[in-house]
Amino acid sequence: MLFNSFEFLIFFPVVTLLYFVLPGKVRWIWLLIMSYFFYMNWNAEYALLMLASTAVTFLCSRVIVAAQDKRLRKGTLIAGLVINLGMLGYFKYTGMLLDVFSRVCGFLGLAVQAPKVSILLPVGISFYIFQALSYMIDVYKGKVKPERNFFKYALFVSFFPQLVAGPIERSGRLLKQVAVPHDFDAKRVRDGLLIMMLGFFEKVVIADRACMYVDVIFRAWINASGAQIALATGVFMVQDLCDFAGYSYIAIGAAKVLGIDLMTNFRQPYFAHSVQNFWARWHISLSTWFRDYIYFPMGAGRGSKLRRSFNIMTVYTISGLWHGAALKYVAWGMLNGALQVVETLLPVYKPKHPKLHHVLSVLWTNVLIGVTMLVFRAGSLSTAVKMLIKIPTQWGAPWMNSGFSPMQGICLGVCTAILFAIEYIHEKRKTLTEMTDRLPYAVRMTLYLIAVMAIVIFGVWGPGYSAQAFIYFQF
Amino acid sequence: MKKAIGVIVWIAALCVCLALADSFFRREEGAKKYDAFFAEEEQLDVLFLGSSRVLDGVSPMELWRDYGITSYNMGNSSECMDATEWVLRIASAHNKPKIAMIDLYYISRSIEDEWHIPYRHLFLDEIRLSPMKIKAVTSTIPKAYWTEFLMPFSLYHGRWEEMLAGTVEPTVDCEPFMMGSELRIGRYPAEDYVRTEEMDTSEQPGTAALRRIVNYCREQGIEPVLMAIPAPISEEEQRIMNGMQLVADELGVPYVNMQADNPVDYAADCYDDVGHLNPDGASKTTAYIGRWLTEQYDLEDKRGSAALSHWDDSLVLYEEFRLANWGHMTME
Repeated sequence: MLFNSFEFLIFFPVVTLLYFVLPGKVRWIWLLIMSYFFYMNWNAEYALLMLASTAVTFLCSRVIVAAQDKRLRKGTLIAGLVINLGMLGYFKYTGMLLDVFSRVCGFLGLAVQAPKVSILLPVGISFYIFQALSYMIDVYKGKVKPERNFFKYALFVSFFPQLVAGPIERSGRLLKQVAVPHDFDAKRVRDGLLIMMLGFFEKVVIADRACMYVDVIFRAWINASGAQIALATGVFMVQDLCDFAGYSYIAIGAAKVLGIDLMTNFRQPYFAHSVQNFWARWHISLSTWFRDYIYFPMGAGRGSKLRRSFNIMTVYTISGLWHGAALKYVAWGMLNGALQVVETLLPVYKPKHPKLHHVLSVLWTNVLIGVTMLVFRAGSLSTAVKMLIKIPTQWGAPWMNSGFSPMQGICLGVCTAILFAIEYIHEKRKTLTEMTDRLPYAVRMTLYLIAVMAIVIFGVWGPGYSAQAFIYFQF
Repeated sequence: MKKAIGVIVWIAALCVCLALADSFFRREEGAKKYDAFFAEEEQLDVLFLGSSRVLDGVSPMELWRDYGITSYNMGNSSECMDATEWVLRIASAHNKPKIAMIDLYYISRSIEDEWHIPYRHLFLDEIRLSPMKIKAVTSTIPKAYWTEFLMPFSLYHGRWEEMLAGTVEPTVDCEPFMMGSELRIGRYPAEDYVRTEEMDTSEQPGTAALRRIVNYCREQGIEPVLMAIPAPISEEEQRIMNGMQLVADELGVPYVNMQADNPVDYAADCYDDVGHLNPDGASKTTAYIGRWLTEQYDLEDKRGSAALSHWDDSLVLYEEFRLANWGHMTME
């Protein structure tokens, strides 16, 4: 069930209504049932996988807490990690590993061909496994009190708003929130709905429209000019942000309606003044996960520059792998790591004109991020390299017909401008709610109405209208 | 309490805005084609049902002018028999005709073929959401398309683009005074037409629906009549049309096969390369049907009836339109 589907438009109000109607003691049970129902809409069998991951991490955590022997504690932690990462590896990386194996054999002249496998990737597996692992590791480190009730823990792992695309929450924040009943609070519900509305605007109006252009150019890049590839990359930057951040906003808003606060996942990433700063703003729940469970245990920034660089490269290589099972994702992760290593090695510079320097830094960071985004979106690593070469060498070549109408372009441009205006407001540490709260009640309600209607009319949803299909010449 | 009232008012305002947007983004052709039918309060003599052959081939206004018969043309592009069944059921629930003339051209086409789906909007979009509409949609449309038929706004909200760009094109050339028919202006001489008397007696994909239609008509007291509109169709298609005589005989219903007894001249009376009839072809076909109806049924000549004066008003508009666009009224 996608957030931008009719099913969710029915599911969410029903879940919310009954959540507040039911007695406080059983509300979390209702959420657990509905979370599994939500997940089983994708693939019912794979709910067992989530249940298995939940059971393993829960049991391991119980053993870790109960065990006196350090070796048993550590062994249990490692067993829990191996089982969960094994599941993730099997479903996500088997195909890639077999492909790499075949290539290596071919390179060595060995006539060995690994079988082609097609394993359906369970939705959200990367998210809920990381969330479950964070709990187990935190229990091992003594950072959180272990949950005694398996079903409350199961709700922490499966809580539907953030189940399939994050934010990847920590048990210290979420577990205690989902386990207690929340009463109806009109202001909180309104704030949650407004956050959801922003998410729908980003996802349905911008991301799904931007992808119409991006998909064509990245598929037929051979016919595109350099300038067109650069434009498509820029549009993809907007699409990627709106797709991911939009989904996060809907998750955060939905949870807020139910009385649960989820962490901020995106904080104006394209206002970043360095690649490091970008990663402190982009997919924050994942970045901090890698920081806390990989980068810090490795020694973080301590030690020699070489050691620190190695740590950064390791974390971002793993991050690349997390994002997808293909070499281009590994390259993308390493490129992001390398850019940050270079930044740490550069001497500290005190600019004469700090404001101008800041603006130029933001622009330059966006160029660098654009390059990494192109690698991320291209069909393969070799295609990405060819596209990057094409940008300067065929900048002025004739533009291919993308089929993206001028009207759609204007709509996308205007909506992107609105998006960056909102991002700017957020950057100034203000929220839309704060700003609209100053307006008279009637004006505020009218604004909300206009916003909803704009999303409904200009959103890319439903079956998609094609005038051509209706034209009366095909009998 | 104030807040609760505010929320209720806001939700009501949202519903009103959505309803307004729904009607704003609808295509206009459906209203032009069907509004006059749903506005008609007097019982119709004849309802014409079927494909685009009917849509372009029968003129209710000329039937009124020459015979005083009230009729409505419900024909629509690419309409197979299963769809025709539901057009008849929904239409007769509003205005039950004395006679239903059912075109058989698309009896060879299966409802499973998805190519017909966009054309189904013309009629179904004009029908309010009701149990009958839900049944019509779920019986004849694949599940993947149900939303766009039951909630047309999910499809049409994307029309802002063509509306702003001014590139809206009509899907049918109907005007309210044409009583559901359209005038397609042009001449396209049909070549390579070969007449055959052979029959294809195999069961066609639409035969089961046709049997249901005939049964429904009998239950409702409507006289069912099968017909084949004249068109320079292939020999294979003619064989199917000829074979329908056996089905008509089995069902005990009249069959007006204008493929066999052709009233039109294919060299002059078609407007396109697939043999849809132009206004002259439609006039000749309508005259033929009028003669047949008056011979077979005791239909009252209603010309001059005060309750049907709006038909005379429509006839004036129809004739003006036809003269302006086609240059003459009849071939004679």
